[in-house]
Amino acid sequence: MWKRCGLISLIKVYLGEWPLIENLLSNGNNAEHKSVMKLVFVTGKGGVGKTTFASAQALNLASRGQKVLLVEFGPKSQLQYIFDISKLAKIKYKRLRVPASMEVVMWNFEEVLVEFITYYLKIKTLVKSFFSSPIMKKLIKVAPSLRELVYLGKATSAYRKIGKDMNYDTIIIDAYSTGHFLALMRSPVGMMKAVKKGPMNSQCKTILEVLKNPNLVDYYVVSLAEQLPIEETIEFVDVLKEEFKIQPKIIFNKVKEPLSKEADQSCIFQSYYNKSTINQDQQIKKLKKYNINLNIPFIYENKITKIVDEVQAQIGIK
Amino acid sequence: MKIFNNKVLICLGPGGVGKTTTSVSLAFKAATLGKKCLVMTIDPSRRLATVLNISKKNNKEKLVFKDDSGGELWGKIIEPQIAFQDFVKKFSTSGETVEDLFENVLFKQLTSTLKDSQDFTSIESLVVAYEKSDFDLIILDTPPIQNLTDFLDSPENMYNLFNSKFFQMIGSSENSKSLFKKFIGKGAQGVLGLLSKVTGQQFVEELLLFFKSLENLSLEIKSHSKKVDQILGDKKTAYLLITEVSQSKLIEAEEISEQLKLRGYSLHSIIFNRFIPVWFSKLKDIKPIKNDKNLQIFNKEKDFYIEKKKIIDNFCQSKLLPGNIVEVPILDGINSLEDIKSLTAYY
Repeated sequence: MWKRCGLISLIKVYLGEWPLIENLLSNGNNAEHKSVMKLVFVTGKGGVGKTTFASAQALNLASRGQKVLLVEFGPKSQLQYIFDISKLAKIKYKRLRVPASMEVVMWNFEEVLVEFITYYLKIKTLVKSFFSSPIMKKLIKVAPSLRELVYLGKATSAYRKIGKDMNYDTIIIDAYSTGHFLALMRSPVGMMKAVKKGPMNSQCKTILEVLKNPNLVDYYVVSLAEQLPIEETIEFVDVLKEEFKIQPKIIFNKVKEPLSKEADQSCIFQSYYNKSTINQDQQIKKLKKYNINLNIPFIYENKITKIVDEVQAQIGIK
Repeated sequence: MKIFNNKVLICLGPGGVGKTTTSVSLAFKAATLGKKCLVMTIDPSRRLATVLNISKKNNKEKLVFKDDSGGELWGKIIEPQIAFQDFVKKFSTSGETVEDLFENVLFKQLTSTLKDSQDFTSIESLVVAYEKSDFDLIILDTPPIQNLTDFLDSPENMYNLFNSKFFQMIGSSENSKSLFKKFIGKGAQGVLGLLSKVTGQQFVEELLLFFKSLENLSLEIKSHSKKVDQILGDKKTAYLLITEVSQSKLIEAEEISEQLKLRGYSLHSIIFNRFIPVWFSKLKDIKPIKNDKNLQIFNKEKDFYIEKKKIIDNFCQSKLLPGNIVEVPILDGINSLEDIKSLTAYY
């Protein structure tokens, strides 16, 4: 069967030389839209409320009439708990709580990879033989930063005029936590160092061009006003600035309201609560020189769907 | 707590619940019980290294604390790249190819701090420490786990890669360019041809070189793989789940516990971290609050934690949970070694 694959030479596969992003923008290829589609990455230390913020922001934009795509990376869905979506629905979720102008989707590595390869090889049987090869199977499992590249490739594909068209005003990506997010951002840089020419290199180049373009991409770092998350946020923001010249916006989540000045310090509740809000203000001050975008108050709810609704309302006000 | 009589403690849990701090405090407890204990973490943040006063760079154990009982607390920050290289060196039959491999750009990518390599090097470092048997107890703080099966299978996946007999199909050759040509002329042509269409020839050459360097790793990897399984499933290896009390974290925690069960391993204890604030257990002592605004805040806080307590009670009743449930309250400012040590009061 491999011999038949000599057919490959007959197949015109479009290689290399993708349009650079500047050309794309100046050509006004986005004529259908009034403004250019915005790509938004949400990151932050584990457990600070990334998913909550990403969901609330998506709902907020959708309620203002924008067409929004909210994305999470597979294989595990967090958004299913927020949008009451069936665990069985794989890549596209049933939209139960979602407004008509919003879509929620999980990108699954293997599926996006198939989509990508299909785009290049064009012919389904070729794609099939590609993925049924034991070598490929093994390789895909451990291939260095392939997963990261595939997700970034997909996220930036519309700007690079590759693959399916994406007709949204905003794509919000509920991305990895800070450490892994850096690995994600570094993957095209690493691959360009590894492979100096050819399609892989030019793909990575255009991906980076999009990621570094502040007119196209926004980065939000969600943090808590506590020592550890703030230290991690500062470390992360500094690296992002140094390596990519990217200036992310910082969101403080779960900010507690201070007591009135007449707080009774002999009361165990008030003295405890007071201490924590004083600490909170000191922590926020540490980020004075950074781009603080928003403080989201602590939501006194235990149900995640209610929390998201409340946060959406708060974002809407501000 | 009987848990300290084990030889290995593996701390699992969703991200951001205080796993690392908890792991270190558990190690403290073990040291105060007279054990010689090692705690290992792959935590990428600088904080723990600072607190424990350990260098992140050298991948070595360091004595952190000595107890009057004779117990010792040792700490180690796992450095994935070094741990990975040590692993390859151990199984390499030829020094030269090891150098080749370390120079290979794809290997560098593979061993940089990506999720998969973190999973693998965490378990691998556990095995190395276990085999040295210098310690009574080893506590492993795992990287945030998205999928427990992926985590526990990470050594197996990596051994499979290193054990691949890819090159035996065509015999060996000197350099990547001639290798590439050989491949194009041989059976694997289809796949590699296709791959090079998508990625370019240079990438495929690097890939071939990568596999070629792996060829000289010895077959002992297979028996090593069995050792890993043996340690992970040993009677003296206990799994501990650390979680917070929020809807989504509890669902994640439940999934981890179920996946563990499927593996045939059982959960020894659950630690509910940052459970409720300290004042909440002293509600009866709190006198009426006069200031309206402060009263309003108090009521919001109180109702919130009452609800939280209900959630946890329901969770514990409805699920089959292990015997040991530990509740650690919300404590502000756990920053120093002494602060972490103070947590041992809850175990």
